Amino acid sequence: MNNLYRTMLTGLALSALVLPAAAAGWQSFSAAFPTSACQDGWAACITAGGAVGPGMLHDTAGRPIPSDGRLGWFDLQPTASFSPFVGLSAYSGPAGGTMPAPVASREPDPVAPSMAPQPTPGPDASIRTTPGPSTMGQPTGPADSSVRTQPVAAQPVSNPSQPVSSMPPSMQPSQPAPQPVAQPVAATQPVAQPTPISQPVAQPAPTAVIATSAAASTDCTDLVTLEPAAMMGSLTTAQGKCLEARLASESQQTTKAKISLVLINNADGKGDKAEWERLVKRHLEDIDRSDPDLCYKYSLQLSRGGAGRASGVIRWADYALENKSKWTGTTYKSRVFALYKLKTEAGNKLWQDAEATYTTEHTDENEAKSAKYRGMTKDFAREWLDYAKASAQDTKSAMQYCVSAAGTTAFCEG
Amino acid sequence: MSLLLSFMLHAVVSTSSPAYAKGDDEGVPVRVVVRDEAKAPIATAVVRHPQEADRHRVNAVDGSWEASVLYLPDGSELRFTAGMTLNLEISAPGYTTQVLTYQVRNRRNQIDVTLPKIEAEDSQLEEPTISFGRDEPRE
Repeated sequence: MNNLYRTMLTGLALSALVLPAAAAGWQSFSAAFPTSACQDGWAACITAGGAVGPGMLHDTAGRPIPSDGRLGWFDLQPTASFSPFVGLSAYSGPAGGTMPAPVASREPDPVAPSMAPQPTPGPDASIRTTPGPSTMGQPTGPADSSVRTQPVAAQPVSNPSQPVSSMPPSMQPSQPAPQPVAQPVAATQPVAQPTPISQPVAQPAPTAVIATSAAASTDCTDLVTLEPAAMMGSLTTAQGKCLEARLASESQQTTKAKISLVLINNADGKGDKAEWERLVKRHLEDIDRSDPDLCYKYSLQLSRGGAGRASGVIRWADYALENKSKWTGTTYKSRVFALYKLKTEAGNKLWQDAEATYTTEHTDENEAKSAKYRGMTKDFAREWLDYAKASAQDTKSAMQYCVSAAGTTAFCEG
Repeated sequence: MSLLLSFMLHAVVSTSSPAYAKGDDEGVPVRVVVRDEAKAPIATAVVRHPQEADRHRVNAVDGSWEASVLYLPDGSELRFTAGMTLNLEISAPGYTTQVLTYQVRNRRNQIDVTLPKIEAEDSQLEEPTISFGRDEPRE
Protein backbone atom coordinates (compact mmCIF):
# COMPACT_ATOMS: atom_id res chain seq x y z
CA MET A 1 0.00 0.00 0.00
CA ASN A 2 2.82 2.30 0.83
CA ASN A 3 4.36 1.50 -2.51
CA LEU A 4 1.18 2.48 -4.22
CA TYR A 5 1.05 5.88 -2.46
CA ARG A 6 4.69 6.43 -3.23
CA THR A 7 4.14 5.68 -6.90
CA MET A 8 1.17 8.05 -7.06
CA LEU A 9 3.05 10.83 -5.34
CA THR A 10 5.99 10.40 -7.67
CA GLY A 11 3.67 10.52 -10.67
CA LEU A 12 1.99 13.68 -9.45
CA ALA A 13 5.32 15.33 -8.81
CA LEU A 14 6.50 14.47 -12.31
CA SER A 15 3.26 15.78 -13.81
CA ALA A 16 3.64 19.03 -11.98
CA LEU A 17 7.06 19.42 -13.51
CA VAL A 18 6.14 18.41 -17.05
CA LEU A 19 2.77 20.11 -17.56
CA PRO A 20 3.89 23.73 -17.40
CA ALA A 21 6.62 22.99 -19.90
CA ALA A 22 4.16 21.36 -22.24
CA ALA A 23 1.70 24.20 -21.82
CA ALA A 24 4.23 26.80 -22.85
CA GLY A 25 3.83 26.26 -26.56
CA TRP A 26 3.90 28.64 -29.48
CA GLN A 27 0.49 29.94 -28.56
CA SER A 28 1.95 31.94 -25.73
CA PHE A 29 4.06 33.91 -28.19
CA SER A 30 1.10 35.17 -30.14
CA ALA A 31 -0.22 36.82 -27.01
CA ALA A 32 3.12 38.41 -26.33
CA PHE A 33 3.54 39.68 -29.87
CA PRO A 34 0.10 40.74 -31.03
CA THR A 35 -0.43 41.78 -34.62
CA SER A 36 -2.47 44.79 -33.58
CA ALA A 37 -0.87 46.25 -30.51
CA CYS A 38 -2.73 49.51 -30.63
CA GLN A 39 -6.30 50.12 -29.61
CA ASP A 40 -7.32 51.43 -32.99
CA GLY A 41 -6.17 48.37 -34.85
CA TRP A 42 -2.80 49.52 -36.03
CA ALA A 43 0.24 47.35 -35.48
CA ALA A 44 2.14 50.27 -34.06
CA CYS A 45 1.38 53.72 -32.80
CA ILE A 46 2.64 56.46 -30.61
CA THR A 47 0.87 56.94 -27.33
CA ALA A 48 1.40 59.00 -24.28
CA GLY A 49 3.82 56.41 -23.06
CA GLY A 50 5.82 56.42 -26.24
CA ALA A 51 5.80 54.10 -29.21
CA VAL A 52 3.85 50.90 -28.98
CA GLY A 53 4.65 48.10 -31.37
CA PRO A 54 4.10 44.40 -31.59
CA GLY A 55 7.10 43.74 -29.35
CA MET A 56 7.19 43.53 -25.57
CA LEU A 57 6.50 46.42 -23.23
CA HIS A 58 7.68 46.71 -19.67
CA ASP A 59 5.81 47.58 -16.55
CA THR A 60 6.93 50.00 -13.84
CA ALA A 61 9.31 47.45 -12.41
CA GLY A 62 10.77 46.62 -15.76
CA ARG A 63 9.06 43.30 -16.15
CA PRO A 64 8.10 42.44 -19.73
CA ILE A 65 4.42 42.49 -20.55
CA PRO A 66 2.56 42.01 -23.84
CA SER A 67 2.18 45.21 -25.73
CA ASP A 68 -1.60 44.88 -26.02
CA GLY A 69 -2.03 44.59 -22.28
CA ARG A 70 -3.86 47.51 -20.81
CA LEU A 71 -2.67 46.94 -17.27
CA GLY A 72 0.53 45.60 -15.85
CA TRP A 73 0.25 42.02 -14.72
CA PHE A 74 2.02 42.51 -11.41
CA ASP A 75 1.39 46.12 -10.49
CA LEU A 76 -1.96 46.73 -12.22
CA GLN A 77 -0.64 50.02 -13.48
CA PRO A 78 -2.00 51.31 -16.77
CA THR A 79 0.19 50.65 -19.76
CA ALA A 80 0.70 52.78 -22.84
CA SER A 81 -2.24 51.17 -24.58
CA PHE A 82 -4.58 51.49 -21.66
CA SER A 83 -7.28 53.71 -23.08
CA PRO A 84 -9.94 52.03 -25.23
CA PHE A 85 -11.36 55.37 -26.34
CA VAL A 86 -9.44 55.51 -29.54
CA GLY A 87 -10.92 55.26 -32.98
CA LEU A 88 -9.28 54.92 -36.35
CA SER A 89 -7.67 58.15 -37.24
CA ALA A 90 -8.79 59.65 -40.53
CA TYR A 91 -6.41 59.93 -43.43
CA SER A 92 -6.80 63.34 -44.91
CA GLY A 93 -3.65 63.63 -46.94
CA PRO A 94 -3.61 63.44 -50.71
CA ALA A 95 -3.90 60.11 -52.45
CA GLY A 96 -0.69 58.45 -53.48
CA GLY A 97 1.20 58.92 -50.27
CA THR A 98 2.62 62.35 -50.90
CA MET A 99 1.92 64.16 -47.71
CA PRO A 100 3.10 67.33 -46.19
CA ALA A 101 5.21 66.87 -43.14
CA PRO A 102 4.05 69.35 -40.56
CA VAL A 103 7.06 69.06 -38.37
CA ALA A 104 6.02 71.61 -35.84
CA SER A 105 2.83 69.84 -35.00
CA ARG A 106 4.58 66.60 -34.25
CA GLU A 107 6.27 67.79 -31.19
CA PRO A 108 5.29 65.57 -28.35
CA ASP A 109 3.37 66.93 -25.51
CA PRO A 110 5.65 67.52 -22.54
CA VAL A 111 2.95 66.27 -20.26
CA ALA A 112 2.01 63.35 -22.42
CA PRO A 113 4.71 60.89 -21.42
CA SER A 114 2.86 60.19 -18.25
CA MET A 115 1.29 56.79 -18.59
CA ALA A 116 -1.70 57.74 -16.52
CA PRO A 117 -4.87 56.98 -18.45
CA GLN A 118 -6.60 59.89 -20.09
CA PRO A 119 -10.32 59.21 -20.05
CA THR A 120 -11.05 61.75 -22.75
CA PRO A 121 -12.12 60.68 -26.22
CA GLY A 122 -9.21 59.87 -28.43
CA PRO A 123 -6.35 60.53 -26.04
CA ASP A 124 -4.06 58.36 -28.05
CA ALA A 125 -4.47 60.37 -31.20
CA SER A 126 -4.25 63.72 -29.50
CA ILE A 127 -1.21 62.86 -27.47
CA ARG A 128 0.68 61.92 -30.52
CA THR A 129 0.45 65.26 -32.20
CA THR A 130 -0.89 67.96 -29.96
CA PRO A 131 1.53 70.79 -29.54
CA GLY A 132 0.62 71.64 -26.01
CA PRO A 133 -0.91 70.28 -22.88
CA SER A 134 -4.08 72.26 -23.27
CA THR A 135 -5.12 70.22 -26.26
CA MET A 136 -4.80 66.85 -24.67
CA GLY A 137 -7.72 64.63 -25.30
CA GLN A 138 -8.92 66.64 -28.27
CA PRO A 139 -8.89 65.38 -31.81
CA THR A 140 -6.29 67.00 -33.94
CA GLY A 141 -5.98 67.82 -37.58
CA PRO A 142 -4.14 66.38 -40.52
CA ALA A 143 -0.83 66.42 -38.72
CA ASP A 144 -2.18 63.79 -36.46
CA SER A 145 -3.14 61.65 -39.40
CA SER A 146 0.24 62.01 -40.92
CA VAL A 147 1.77 60.62 -37.85
CA ARG A 148 -0.55 57.67 -38.07
CA THR A 149 0.65 56.86 -41.52
CA GLN A 150 4.22 56.84 -40.44
CA PRO A 151 5.57 53.31 -40.70
CA VAL A 152 6.22 52.97 -37.05
CA ALA A 153 6.00 49.23 -37.21
CA ALA A 154 9.12 49.15 -39.30
CA GLN A 155 11.10 50.65 -36.47
CA PRO A 156 12.29 48.75 -33.47
CA VAL A 157 10.30 49.42 -30.37
CA SER A 158 11.47 52.76 -29.23
CA ASN A 159 13.80 52.83 -26.31
CA PRO A 160 11.81 54.08 -23.40
CA SER A 161 14.87 55.14 -21.55
CA GLN A 162 15.82 57.53 -24.33
CA PRO A 163 12.57 58.70 -25.74
CA VAL A 164 14.06 61.78 -27.29
CA SER A 165 16.74 60.01 -29.24
CA SER A 166 14.46 57.24 -30.33
CA MET A 167 11.99 59.65 -31.80
CA PRO A 168 12.36 61.34 -35.12
CA PRO A 169 13.93 64.76 -34.89
CA SER A 170 10.72 66.40 -35.82
CA MET A 171 8.98 64.76 -32.91
CA GLN A 172 11.51 65.57 -30.29
CA PRO A 173 10.16 67.85 -27.60
CA SER A 174 11.60 71.27 -27.31
CA GLN A 175 12.20 70.79 -23.64
CA PRO A 176 13.10 67.68 -21.68
CA ALA A 177 10.05 65.68 -21.11
CA PRO A 178 9.40 63.67 -18.02
CA GLN A 179 10.29 60.07 -18.41
CA PRO A 180 7.42 57.67 -18.61
CA VAL A 181 7.10 55.71 -15.44
CA ALA A 182 6.83 52.42 -17.20
CA GLN A 183 9.96 52.77 -19.26
CA PRO A 184 13.15 52.98 -17.28
CA VAL A 185 13.90 49.27 -17.42
CA ALA A 186 14.18 49.30 -21.13
CA ALA A 187 17.55 50.98 -20.90
CA THR A 188 19.13 47.69 -21.75
CA GLN A 189 17.40 47.63 -25.10
CA PRO A 190 19.22 48.85 -28.17
CA VAL A 191 18.61 52.44 -29.02
CA ALA A 192 16.45 52.85 -32.02
CA GLN A 193 17.76 54.99 -34.81
CA PRO A 194 15.68 58.00 -35.59
CA THR A 195 13.76 57.73 -38.74
CA PRO A 196 13.21 60.79 -40.89
CA ILE A 197 9.56 61.48 -40.57
CA SER A 198 9.47 63.51 -43.71
CA GLN A 199 9.18 60.33 -45.77
CA PRO A 200 5.82 58.96 -44.88
CA VAL A 201 4.59 55.88 -46.57
CA ALA A 202 0.92 55.83 -47.34
CA GLN A 203 -0.88 53.21 -45.36
CA PRO A 204 -4.10 51.67 -46.58
CA ALA A 205 -6.64 54.32 -45.88
CA PRO A 206 -10.39 53.96 -45.55
CA THR A 207 -12.20 53.79 -48.86
CA ALA A 208 -14.34 56.81 -48.23
CA VAL A 209 -11.28 58.89 -47.63
CA ILE A 210 -9.77 57.80 -50.91
CA ALA A 211 -13.02 58.53 -52.67
CA THR A 212 -13.08 62.01 -51.23
CA SER A 213 -9.57 62.80 -52.14
CA ALA A 214 -9.92 61.27 -55.60
CA ALA A 215 -13.07 63.20 -56.23
CA ALA A 216 -11.39 66.40 -55.23
CA SER A 217 -8.50 65.88 -57.58
CA THR A 218 -8.50 66.31 -61.32
CA ASP A 219 -5.76 63.79 -61.82
CA CYS A 220 -6.92 60.68 -63.64
CA THR A 221 -3.74 58.72 -64.09
CA ASP A 222 -4.38 56.24 -61.31
CA LEU A 223 -7.63 54.55 -62.25
CA VAL A 224 -7.72 52.41 -59.13
CA THR A 225 -8.02 55.42 -56.88
CA LEU A 226 -10.90 56.70 -59.00
CA GLU A 227 -12.89 53.50 -58.69
CA PRO A 228 -14.61 54.22 -55.35
CA ALA A 229 -15.71 57.63 -56.55
CA ALA A 230 -16.84 56.15 -59.85
CA MET A 231 -18.91 53.55 -58.07
CA MET A 232 -20.64 56.31 -56.18
CA GLY A 233 -21.10 58.30 -59.37
CA SER A 234 -19.18 61.17 -57.84
CA LEU A 235 -16.43 61.75 -60.38
CA THR A 236 -16.16 65.43 -61.15
CA THR A 237 -16.71 66.90 -64.58
CA ALA A 238 -13.01 67.69 -64.76
CA GLN A 239 -12.15 64.09 -63.99
CA GLY A 240 -14.62 62.91 -66.58
CA LYS A 241 -13.03 65.14 -69.18
CA CYS A 242 -9.60 63.99 -68.14
CA LEU A 243 -10.65 60.37 -68.57
CA GLU A 244 -12.22 61.10 -71.94
CA ALA A 245 -9.03 62.79 -73.07
CA ARG A 246 -6.99 59.82 -71.90
CA LEU A 247 -9.35 57.49 -73.69
CA ALA A 248 -8.96 59.41 -76.92
CA SER A 249 -5.18 59.45 -76.75
CA GLU A 250 -4.57 56.01 -75.32
CA SER A 251 -3.14 53.49 -77.73
CA GLN A 252 -3.49 50.32 -75.69
CA GLN A 253 -6.87 48.69 -76.03
CA THR A 254 -6.74 47.18 -72.53
CA THR A 255 -6.11 50.55 -70.94
CA LYS A 256 -8.89 52.04 -73.02
CA ALA A 257 -11.20 49.40 -71.68
CA LYS A 258 -10.23 50.19 -68.10
CA ILE A 259 -10.82 53.91 -68.58
CA SER A 260 -14.11 53.26 -70.28
CA LEU A 261 -15.26 51.00 -67.46
CA VAL A 262 -14.54 53.70 -64.91
CA LEU A 263 -16.71 56.10 -66.90
CA ILE A 264 -19.43 53.47 -67.29
CA ASN A 265 -19.48 52.75 -63.57
CA ASN A 266 -19.62 56.45 -62.82
CA ALA A 267 -22.66 56.89 -65.07
CA ASP A 268 -24.24 53.84 -63.46
CA GLY A 269 -23.54 55.20 -60.00
CA LYS A 270 -25.17 58.49 -60.93
CA GLY A 271 -28.19 56.68 -62.30
CA ASP A 272 -27.79 58.45 -65.64
CA LYS A 273 -29.19 55.74 -67.90
CA ALA A 274 -28.88 57.69 -71.13
CA GLU A 275 -25.22 58.42 -70.52
CA TRP A 276 -24.66 54.84 -69.36
CA GLU A 277 -26.17 53.53 -72.59
CA ARG A 278 -24.03 55.86 -74.68
CA LEU A 279 -20.84 54.83 -72.91
CA VAL A 280 -21.64 51.12 -72.98
CA LYS A 281 -22.51 51.30 -76.67
CA ARG A 282 -19.19 52.96 -77.37
CA HIS A 283 -17.38 50.43 -75.21
CA LEU A 284 -18.99 47.47 -76.94
CA GLU A 285 -18.78 48.88 -80.44
CA ASP A 286 -15.29 50.34 -80.35
CA ILE A 287 -13.30 48.87 -77.48
CA ASP A 288 -14.27 45.47 -76.19
CA ARG A 289 -17.29 43.22 -76.41
CA SER A 290 -15.86 40.14 -74.74
CA ASP A 291 -17.44 40.79 -71.35
CA PRO A 292 -20.67 38.79 -71.28
CA ASP A 293 -21.88 40.66 -68.20
CA LEU A 294 -21.73 43.98 -69.98
CA CYS A 295 -23.33 42.60 -73.15
CA TYR A 296 -26.06 41.04 -71.06
CA LYS A 297 -26.70 44.17 -69.05
CA TYR A 298 -26.82 46.30 -72.18
CA SER A 299 -29.18 43.87 -73.83
CA LEU A 300 -31.36 43.94 -70.73
CA GLN A 301 -31.40 47.72 -70.77
CA LEU A 302 -32.36 47.80 -74.46
CA SER A 303 -35.12 45.28 -73.86
CA ARG A 304 -36.96 47.88 -71.78
CA GLY A 305 -37.50 49.88 -74.94
CA GLY A 306 -39.82 49.22 -77.83
CA ALA A 307 -39.55 47.32 -81.07
CA GLY A 308 -37.04 49.80 -82.42
CA ARG A 309 -34.42 48.51 -80.00
CA ALA A 310 -35.31 44.86 -80.32
CA SER A 311 -32.66 44.18 -82.95
CA GLY A 312 -30.05 45.53 -80.54
CA VAL A 313 -31.35 43.26 -77.82
CA ILE A 314 -30.89 40.22 -80.05
CA ARG A 315 -27.48 41.33 -81.22
CA TRP A 316 -25.97 41.90 -77.79
CA ALA A 317 -27.65 38.87 -76.32
CA ASP A 318 -25.95 36.86 -79.02
CA TYR A 319 -22.56 38.37 -78.13
CA ALA A 320 -23.16 37.57 -74.48
CA LEU A 321 -24.05 34.00 -75.39
CA GLU A 322 -20.82 33.71 -77.36
CA ASN A 323 -18.91 34.24 -74.11
CA LYS A 324 -21.27 32.43 -71.80
CA SER A 325 -18.47 30.04 -70.84
CA LYS A 326 -17.14 32.76 -68.54
CA TRP A 327 -20.08 32.09 -66.27
CA THR A 328 -20.39 29.07 -64.04
CA GLY A 329 -22.94 27.35 -61.87
CA THR A 330 -26.18 29.10 -61.08
CA THR A 331 -24.95 32.30 -62.70
CA TYR A 332 -24.54 30.43 -65.96
CA LYS A 333 -28.00 28.92 -65.69
CA SER A 334 -29.81 32.12 -64.85
CA ARG A 335 -27.95 34.30 -67.35
CA VAL A 336 -28.27 31.94 -70.30
CA PHE A 337 -31.94 31.45 -69.52
CA ALA A 338 -32.40 35.21 -69.32
CA LEU A 339 -30.60 35.79 -72.61
CA TYR A 340 -32.78 33.30 -74.47
CA LYS A 341 -35.78 34.97 -72.91
CA LEU A 342 -34.59 38.42 -73.99
CA LYS A 343 -34.04 37.21 -77.53
CA THR A 344 -37.46 35.61 -77.74
CA GLU A 345 -39.23 38.63 -76.37
CA ALA A 346 -37.33 40.88 -78.72
CA GLY A 347 -38.23 38.68 -81.67
CA ASN A 348 -41.83 38.76 -80.56
CA LYS A 349 -41.79 42.55 -80.44
CA LEU A 350 -40.46 42.69 -83.97
CA TRP A 351 -43.07 40.23 -85.11
CA GLN A 352 -45.89 42.15 -83.45
CA ASP A 353 -44.68 45.35 -85.01
CA ALA A 354 -44.42 43.80 -88.46
CA GLU A 355 -47.86 42.24 -88.10
CA ALA A 356 -49.35 45.56 -87.12
CA THR A 357 -47.74 47.17 -90.15
CA TYR A 358 -49.00 44.45 -92.44
CA THR A 359 -52.49 44.75 -91.03
CA THR A 360 -52.65 48.38 -92.03
CA GLU A 361 -50.68 48.04 -95.23
CA HIS A 362 -51.08 44.81 -97.14
CA THR A 363 -47.95 44.58 -99.23
CA ASP A 364 -45.80 41.61 -100.12
CA GLU A 365 -42.82 43.23 -98.46
CA ASN A 366 -44.65 43.69 -95.19
CA GLU A 367 -45.95 40.18 -95.32
CA ALA A 368 -42.48 38.82 -95.91
CA LYS A 369 -41.13 40.84 -93.03
CA SER A 370 -43.85 39.58 -90.75
CA ALA A 371 -43.19 36.00 -91.77
CA LYS A 372 -39.46 36.49 -91.19
CA TYR A 373 -39.90 37.83 -87.67
CA ARG A 374 -42.45 35.20 -86.85
CA GLY A 375 -39.99 32.52 -87.87
CA MET A 376 -37.31 34.24 -85.83
CA THR A 377 -39.53 34.31 -82.77
CA LYS A 378 -40.41 30.69 -83.28
CA ASP A 379 -36.76 29.67 -83.44
CA PHE A 380 -35.75 31.78 -80.44
CA ALA A 381 -38.64 30.45 -78.40
CA ARG A 382 -37.76 26.91 -79.32
CA GLU A 383 -34.14 27.49 -78.25
CA TRP A 384 -35.31 28.98 -74.99
CA LEU A 385 -37.73 26.15 -74.43
CA ASP A 386 -35.07 23.52 -75.11
CA TYR A 387 -32.63 25.16 -72.73
CA ALA A 388 -35.27 25.58 -70.05
CA LYS A 389 -36.12 21.91 -70.33
CA ALA A 390 -32.48 20.84 -70.31
CA SER A 391 -31.63 22.97 -67.28
CA ALA A 392 -34.82 22.08 -65.39
CA GLN A 393 -36.14 25.64 -65.35
CA ASP A 394 -39.59 27.10 -65.91
CA THR A 395 -40.86 26.35 -69.42
CA LYS A 396 -44.24 28.07 -69.26
CA SER A 397 -43.39 31.36 -70.93
CA ALA A 398 -41.09 29.75 -73.47
CA MET A 399 -43.84 27.35 -74.45
CA GLN A 400 -46.36 30.18 -74.77
CA TYR A 401 -44.12 32.14 -77.13
CA CYS A 402 -43.26 29.03 -79.07
CA VAL A 403 -46.86 27.99 -79.60
CA SER A 404 -47.85 31.56 -80.39
CA ALA A 405 -45.24 31.88 -83.11
CA ALA A 406 -45.50 28.36 -84.47
CA GLY A 407 -49.28 28.41 -84.40
CA THR A 408 -49.29 24.82 -83.26
CA THR A 409 -48.29 22.93 -80.19
CA ALA A 410 -46.87 20.09 -82.24
CA PHE A 411 -43.76 22.07 -83.19
CA CYS A 412 -42.94 22.98 -79.60
CA GLU A 413 -43.77 19.74 -77.89
CA GLY A 414 -41.85 17.61 -80.33
CA MET B 1 -106.44 18.60 -109.80
CA SER B 2 -105.51 21.98 -108.44
CA LEU B 3 -104.17 20.29 -105.35
CA LEU B 4 -101.97 18.07 -107.47
CA LEU B 5 -100.66 21.03 -109.42
CA SER B 6 -99.80 22.94 -106.29
CA PHE B 7 -97.84 19.96 -104.94
CA MET B 8 -95.89 19.65 -108.17
CA LEU B 9 -95.15 23.35 -108.23
CA HIS B 10 -93.90 23.25 -104.67
CA ALA B 11 -91.64 20.34 -105.50
CA VAL B 12 -90.11 22.14 -108.45
CA VAL B 13 -89.59 25.34 -106.54
CA SER B 14 -88.12 23.56 -103.57
CA THR B 15 -85.56 21.54 -105.50
CA SER B 16 -84.36 24.50 -107.56
CA SER B 17 -83.92 26.79 -104.55
CA PRO B 18 -80.37 28.24 -104.36
CA ALA B 19 -80.55 28.38 -100.61
CA TYR B 20 -81.16 24.70 -100.42
CA ALA B 21 -78.24 23.96 -102.75
CA LYS B 22 -75.85 26.22 -100.86
CA GLY B 23 -76.53 24.66 -97.47
CA ASP B 24 -75.87 21.25 -98.84
CA ASP B 25 -72.64 22.09 -100.72
CA GLU B 26 -70.76 24.61 -98.61
CA GLY B 27 -71.41 23.48 -95.08
CA VAL B 28 -72.52 25.40 -92.06
CA PRO B 29 -70.77 28.73 -91.54
CA VAL B 30 -68.77 29.13 -88.35
CA ARG B 31 -67.68 32.53 -87.11
CA VAL B 32 -64.84 33.17 -84.68
CA VAL B 33 -64.31 36.56 -83.03
CA VAL B 34 -60.96 37.11 -81.32
CA ARG B 35 -60.61 39.74 -78.62
CA ASP B 36 -58.17 40.57 -75.92
CA GLU B 37 -58.95 40.76 -72.23
CA ALA B 38 -60.19 44.33 -72.64
CA LYS B 39 -62.71 43.07 -75.20
CA ALA B 40 -60.89 44.87 -77.99
CA PRO B 41 -60.54 42.97 -81.27
CA ILE B 42 -57.05 41.63 -81.93
CA ALA B 43 -56.24 42.70 -85.45
CA THR B 44 -53.24 40.43 -85.81
CA ALA B 45 -54.92 37.20 -84.70
CA VAL B 46 -54.98 34.13 -86.91
CA VAL B 47 -57.14 31.02 -86.95
CA ARG B 48 -55.88 27.65 -88.04
CA HIS B 49 -57.17 24.12 -88.16
CA PRO B 50 -54.59 21.59 -86.90
CA GLN B 51 -54.61 19.74 -90.22
CA GLU B 52 -54.23 22.87 -92.28
CA ALA B 53 -51.08 24.45 -93.57
CA ASP B 54 -52.40 27.98 -93.89
CA ARG B 55 -53.33 30.41 -91.17
CA HIS B 56 -56.38 32.58 -91.66
CA ARG B 57 -56.10 36.17 -90.60
CA VAL B 58 -59.06 37.69 -88.85
CA ASN B 59 -60.72 40.86 -89.99
CA ALA B 60 -58.50 43.62 -88.69
CA VAL B 61 -61.44 45.82 -87.80
CA ASP B 62 -63.64 43.52 -85.76
CA GLY B 63 -61.30 40.56 -85.15
CA SER B 64 -63.64 38.07 -86.82
CA TRP B 65 -63.11 35.16 -89.16
CA GLU B 66 -65.81 33.12 -90.83
CA ALA B 67 -65.76 29.99 -92.98
CA SER B 68 -67.87 26.96 -93.78
CA VAL B 69 -65.24 24.87 -95.49
CA LEU B 70 -61.50 24.42 -95.19
CA TYR B 71 -59.06 23.12 -97.78
CA LEU B 72 -56.58 20.61 -96.45
CA PRO B 73 -53.02 20.09 -97.78
CA ASP B 74 -53.96 16.80 -99.48
CA GLY B 75 -56.51 18.62 -101.62
CA SER B 76 -59.56 17.43 -99.74
CA GLU B 77 -62.21 19.73 -98.35
CA LEU B 78 -63.40 19.87 -94.80
CA ARG B 79 -66.97 21.05 -94.73
CA PHE B 80 -68.51 22.11 -91.51
CA THR B 81 -71.63 20.18 -90.84
CA ALA B 82 -74.01 20.25 -87.95
CA GLY B 83 -72.90 17.95 -85.20
CA MET B 84 -69.28 17.70 -86.20
CA THR B 85 -66.53 18.52 -83.71
CA LEU B 86 -64.26 21.27 -84.86
CA ASN B 87 -60.75 21.94 -83.55
CA LEU B 88 -59.20 25.36 -84.11
CA GLU B 89 -56.02 27.06 -82.92
CA ILE B 90 -56.32 30.79 -82.40
CA SER B 91 -53.13 32.75 -81.91
CA ALA B 92 -51.69 36.24 -82.16
CA PRO B 93 -48.23 37.65 -81.61
CA GLY B 94 -47.81 38.48 -77.95
CA TYR B 95 -50.84 36.49 -76.88
CA THR B 96 -51.24 33.04 -75.47
CA THR B 97 -52.51 30.62 -78.09
CA GLN B 98 -55.90 29.05 -77.47
CA VAL B 99 -56.97 25.71 -78.84
CA LEU B 100 -60.73 25.33 -78.94
CA THR B 101 -62.99 22.38 -79.55
CA TYR B 102 -66.45 23.26 -80.81
CA GLN B 103 -69.45 21.21 -81.79
CA VAL B 104 -71.03 22.75 -84.89
CA ARG B 105 -74.70 23.54 -84.69
CA ASN B 106 -77.24 24.08 -87.48
CA ARG B 107 -76.99 27.85 -87.19
CA ARG B 108 -75.69 30.68 -85.05
CA ASN B 109 -72.21 29.27 -84.86
CA GLN B 110 -70.38 32.21 -83.36
CA ILE B 111 -67.43 31.57 -81.07
CA ASP B 112 -66.00 34.38 -78.97
CA VAL B 113 -62.39 33.80 -78.04
CA THR B 114 -60.42 35.87 -75.56
CA LEU B 115 -56.65 35.71 -75.78
CA PRO B 116 -54.65 36.65 -72.67
CA LYS B 117 -51.39 38.47 -73.17
CA ILE B 118 -48.16 36.67 -72.48
CA GLU B 119 -46.89 38.15 -69.25
CA ALA B 120 -43.43 39.68 -69.40
CA GLU B 121 -41.48 38.82 -66.26
CA ASP B 122 -38.87 41.54 -66.38
CA SER B 123 -38.44 41.75 -62.64
CA GLN B 124 -37.07 38.25 -62.48
CA LEU B 125 -34.01 39.10 -64.48
CA GLU B 126 -31.00 39.85 -62.34
CA GLU B 127 -28.79 42.77 -63.28
CA PRO B 128 -25.10 42.01 -63.07
CA THR B 129 -22.58 44.38 -61.53
CA ILE B 130 -20.00 45.55 -64.01
CA SER B 131 -16.53 45.18 -62.60
CA PHE B 132 -13.62 47.46 -63.28
CA GLY B 133 -10.95 46.40 -65.70
CA ARG B 134 -8.44 44.96 -63.31
CA ASP B 135 -5.67 42.69 -64.48
CA GLU B 136 -5.52 41.06 -61.09
CA PRO B 137 -7.13 41.70 -57.74
CA ARG B 138 -5.60 44.54 -55.76
CA GLU B 139 -4.00 43.52 -52.48
